[in-house]
Amino acid sequence: MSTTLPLPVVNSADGGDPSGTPQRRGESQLPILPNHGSGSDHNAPPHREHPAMAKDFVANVQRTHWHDGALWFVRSKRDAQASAIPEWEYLRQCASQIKTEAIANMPELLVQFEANAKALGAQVHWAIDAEEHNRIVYEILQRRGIVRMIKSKSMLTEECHLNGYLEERGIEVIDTDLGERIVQLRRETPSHIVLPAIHIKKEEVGETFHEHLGTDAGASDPQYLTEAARGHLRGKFLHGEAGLTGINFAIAETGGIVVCTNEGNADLGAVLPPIHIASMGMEKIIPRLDDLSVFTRLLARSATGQPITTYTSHFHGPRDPGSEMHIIIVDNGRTELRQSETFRSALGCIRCGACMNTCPVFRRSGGHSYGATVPGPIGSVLNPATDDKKHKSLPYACSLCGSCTDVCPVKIPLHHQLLAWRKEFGKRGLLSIDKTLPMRAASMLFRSPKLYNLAGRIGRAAMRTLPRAVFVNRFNMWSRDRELPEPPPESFSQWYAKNRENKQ
Amino acid sequence: MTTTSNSRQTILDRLRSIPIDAPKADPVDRDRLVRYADPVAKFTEILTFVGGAVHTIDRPDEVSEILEGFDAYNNARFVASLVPDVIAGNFNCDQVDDPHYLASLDWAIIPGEFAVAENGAIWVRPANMIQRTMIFLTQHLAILVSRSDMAMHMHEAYRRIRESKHCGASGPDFGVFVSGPSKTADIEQSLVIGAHGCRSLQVFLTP
Repeated sequence: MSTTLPLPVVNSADGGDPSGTPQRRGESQLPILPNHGSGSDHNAPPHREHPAMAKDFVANVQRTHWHDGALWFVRSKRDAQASAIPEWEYLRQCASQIKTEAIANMPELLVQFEANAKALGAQVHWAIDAEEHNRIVYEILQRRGIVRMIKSKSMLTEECHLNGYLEERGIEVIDTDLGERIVQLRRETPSHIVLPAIHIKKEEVGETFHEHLGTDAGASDPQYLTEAARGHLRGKFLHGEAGLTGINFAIAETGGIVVCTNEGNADLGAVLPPIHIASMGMEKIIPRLDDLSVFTRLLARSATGQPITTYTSHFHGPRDPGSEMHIIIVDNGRTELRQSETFRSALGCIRCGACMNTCPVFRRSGGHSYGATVPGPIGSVLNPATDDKKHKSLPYACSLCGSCTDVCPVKIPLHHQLLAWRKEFGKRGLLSIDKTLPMRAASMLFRSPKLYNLAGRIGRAAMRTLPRAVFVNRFNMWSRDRELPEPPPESFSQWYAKNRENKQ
Repeated sequence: MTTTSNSRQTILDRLRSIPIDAPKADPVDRDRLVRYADPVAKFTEILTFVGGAVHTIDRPDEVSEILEGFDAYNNARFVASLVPDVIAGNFNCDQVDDPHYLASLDWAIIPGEFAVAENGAIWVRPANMIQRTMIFLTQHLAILVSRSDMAMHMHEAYRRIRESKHCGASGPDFGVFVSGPSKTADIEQSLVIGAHGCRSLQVFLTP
């Protein structure tokens, strides 16, 4: 029944994301919350800045091109779907309005959601940070003596490092999304929020499955490998004692949650065990049931170029009277992000990943180069809010081309926010001297026409007469992989004076 | 959990510390939405595109005639049917109380509430936990839905859901839009049909 076609699809069931602590406009030096991560993250390498990590990735030219092509393919699929809907731009506008309303009224909506969810029999928990989220999950499991949990895709639990936290306490956590299972077996982290294993080649998946699932050595056929994972995970599903899912949308009006997947793993995880835990970042709240019509039309089309995910599941209360449904509402820095007028709209993100698929930097540097659970343009806006020092290189992993803003289904002005972060870092004194000194010099230069003309003349003469090594050397990072242009014989002002001014 | 109740207040206090003004979003303007001249054709096109199979039928007998054309159906050991008038099935879900017993289910034949033209989705609302498990655990899934019940797009779909008082308006419930068989492309973007859920989806559009 299975066919292997070169078509991208996805799995956009997810609930999580990060965010953080920026400040009000114009203020600097507000205290920054400590890193919200709590459960120990054994695999986390020492943090390095984006250019250093990207350098490792681009060192393999062939792989860089392969990665670039794979993501551009998804972007093209998204374009085909978006252009098939005549009212696409109108839908984006509606989505943006709904999210703006939801962010503004968040406290009232969350309270309304809580009351309605409780009336349906769900239990609602609130977690200030990752630590508390993990503790709540652990306590739910511990009370029932549960040692095996199955989990579908949730970027929030990645953000909270839940797996490590539970494993340290003797609980087996099985990621059931295929991409997430692959990275889990390889003891890696997802490199993309929708396509967690986009950085891994099928031969490498084959090796991992050979080692862990006993597939044939050297096998790399995606259909064969997926079938093996299906068999392996069916066993895990049937033995899971509790299931954890993310949340795509939480509806204040009804107290229900919506989870979108292609694989069906979230549903199996939610229906087979008697306990369903659903974790949500507080920004997943939407006011009304009808709002789903806008988001379900935008999400999968933006994410993977599908008209809708295979399964769009609406959970209202536990599966039956003998079962439990727990919903955990997590802050973890989101309230601080909401206080910033500049960055507030980033809370509208529905985690489709379209900004990543279109970003020329992401496609060529890989998700891991961002050193954060949510990478790419949206990650570069969200992460500095949680830890500005750690993530200060991210807003520079951007050419300000604006493509992310163009594809964002909720119209977050991503490239404007990335630029705003750079200004903010300047105010906070976080920029290194190789950024501040040239900027100060440039500022002087551009303010004085005389100085500017003089520098131009010297520069042109120098480039003509001095040896190449003066400009192209290891200290000038702009000359890496680039050749300098030929110096022009004259400046534009000189050319203009000669050719235009006298002739008018 | 006392920490949780404290956290609840802390979070709400933080959120309320800065009042934010934003207008209520305008309701979606129906006049600006796509309308398909032939919604059934659109539904068929999209569902086929995402890997499902669509059969437009006029008589209930045609369901078994068509299913009997599939080896996977003829070789099935366990077939559960929630439309016994059309397909009898040989697996009685009413006698099962633990969803794990459905692990060996080969086929499930179920009714859908209505279909959506724009994205090939069918709104399915299982009555209980066992029926719900069936949809996701079965190897192959067949859904019967009336083609006269075709919503143009998701806006119309949610209007129907609201009018039918699904989605929590009459107590706890579960509903799912199903569009195609389960699938994944997590290995090098190669689409593979049959991830964790059903390996194939047959949709019968009845009069």
